[in-house]
Amino acid sequence: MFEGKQTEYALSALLVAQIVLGTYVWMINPVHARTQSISSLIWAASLITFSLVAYIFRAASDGTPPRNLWVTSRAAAAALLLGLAVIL
Amino acid sequence: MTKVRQIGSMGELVARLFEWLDKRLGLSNGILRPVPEFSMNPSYWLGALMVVAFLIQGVTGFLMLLYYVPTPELAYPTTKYIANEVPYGLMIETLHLYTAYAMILLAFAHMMRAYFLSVHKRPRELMWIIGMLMGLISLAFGFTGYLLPWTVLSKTATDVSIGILLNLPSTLAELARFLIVGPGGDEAMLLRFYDLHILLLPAALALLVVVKFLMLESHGIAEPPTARPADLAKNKAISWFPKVALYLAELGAVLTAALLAASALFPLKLLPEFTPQAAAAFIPEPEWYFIWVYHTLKISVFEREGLPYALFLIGTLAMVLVFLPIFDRGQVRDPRRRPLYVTVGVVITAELVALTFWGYLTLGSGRNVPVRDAVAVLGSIALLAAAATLGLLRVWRARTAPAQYQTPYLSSDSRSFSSASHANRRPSPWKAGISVTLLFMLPLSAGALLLSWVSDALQSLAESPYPATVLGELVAGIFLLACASYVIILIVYRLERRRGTVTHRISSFESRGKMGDV
Repeated sequence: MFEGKQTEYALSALLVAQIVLGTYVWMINPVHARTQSISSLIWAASLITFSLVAYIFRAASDGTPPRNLWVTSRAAAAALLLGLAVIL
Repeated sequence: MTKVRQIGSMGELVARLFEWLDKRLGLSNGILRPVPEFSMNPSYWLGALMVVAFLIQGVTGFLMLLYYVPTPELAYPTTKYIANEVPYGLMIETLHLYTAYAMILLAFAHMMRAYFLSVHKRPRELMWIIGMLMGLISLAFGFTGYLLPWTVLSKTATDVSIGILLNLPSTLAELARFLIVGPGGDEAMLLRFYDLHILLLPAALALLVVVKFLMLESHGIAEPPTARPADLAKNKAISWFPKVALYLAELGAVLTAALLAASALFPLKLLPEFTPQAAAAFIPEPEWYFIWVYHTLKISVFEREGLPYALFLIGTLAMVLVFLPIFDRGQVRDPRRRPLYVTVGVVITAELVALTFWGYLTLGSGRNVPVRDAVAVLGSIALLAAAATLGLLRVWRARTAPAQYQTPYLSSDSRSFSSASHANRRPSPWKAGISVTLLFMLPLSAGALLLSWVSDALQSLAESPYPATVLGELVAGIFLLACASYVIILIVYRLERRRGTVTHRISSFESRGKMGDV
């Protein structure tokens, strides 16, 4: 389902979107506690995406397929949504 | 550099970036030695994660330094200003705090892992000592940083801690006074804490990180003590660039993400500013990583005249841990063959966790802990932890030992020693249940009797006008209790082993598992 180039494109787009979205949310009101929390959560998710990209790159360099990538991505997305729900 | 399979846009970009860097910096021909394949596991990189946390501390600390003013009048207002007025200031303050917690947790986890896997054995003795010093510096970071916001809680708790430290032997007390109190007064004390926190401690930690890293490069990563030589021989060496560097980047990103998420979900709530009037309404509370010390000092025998003895005991424990390689000189590293050290480690960890939780639950009460309660609770936990550890170690050893080393058992069918006929024998759950119950109940009952005796003796001694005698009796009592527990467990196990019940039970479960697989 999510292998090779598809995963790469999806994660690349997600990483860029998360960084842009996190920065945008923060700049709405940089000193407000809630915007700081939401942007932090989005940046935290972008770090998870980055680690997934690094993992795929490392795994691909010796031909080992990424393990549980799809599960991990969904877990990260669920964690982000849960965090947002708690704050909002 | 390793040829990387091109798998897509991001992969190509990263590959090109690494090749660009590699051609200019020569990273793949670098000075760092390759690491063995077995070390590509997060538990091997707890120290590296501690360094990542230290770097985050450095960055967030530097950003706060731009606004913070270390005087009693301005410390709190500037801390509040950072949280309320500076863009992203609240998150920076919270991240700084939670990263300090992470550093202490990682240091503890790193130490316990090294202890249980005997990484401190020759030739890595100095690495252990330096690692312990780094752990103590992390605690000192926490201690000095706690005062800086100048909240009512941080100031009163620090005052209490300084009062405790000045009960150390005279030379150490003078050193503590010189380092953290200075000529006297709040201003001098805050400035000393600030200087220690931003200058001396970071410099010392950075120096120790460099020294430890050089030693790691020299000795290499310690092999897992339970691995077979044949498996180790198959391990490939992995170069630092790009694989290990990427792996560390992944781990560091996950740690940072967890800290960011925690900061977002539970942002810092600043307590009121310290004033003598506000302090009167607060009971001093330490940070969670010092609660075990605080609760130990609340045991009635350690109050007032007993305080120096409590500090002596805690200091001795710390010194024994720092200089562990001097005491533990054997070359056996396999935890299955080191029951005494493993049990002591588990008991100490269980006691620290228990004291922390117990102290946390009774933080606001301000009441002392009667000696009888302390002996009963801590003694029971020590007994249970020791029994569980010894039992699990024996089972682990029996399950993983090569077949030729396993003790044969007396077969009930043939009345002869056999290692094959048990496969067809159906184990009796009743017998197994009774054996397990007896195995646990006997030492527990004996332990409860001993506990009762020791606590009664201590209760009467607590009324003695000589605290040194009371303390000596307490130490002797706990020591005797621990020895007695160990001997009881050993005797019960030996009896069980002689009868063959333990080996038989394990073999039965194994054979059932195999039959189930078929």
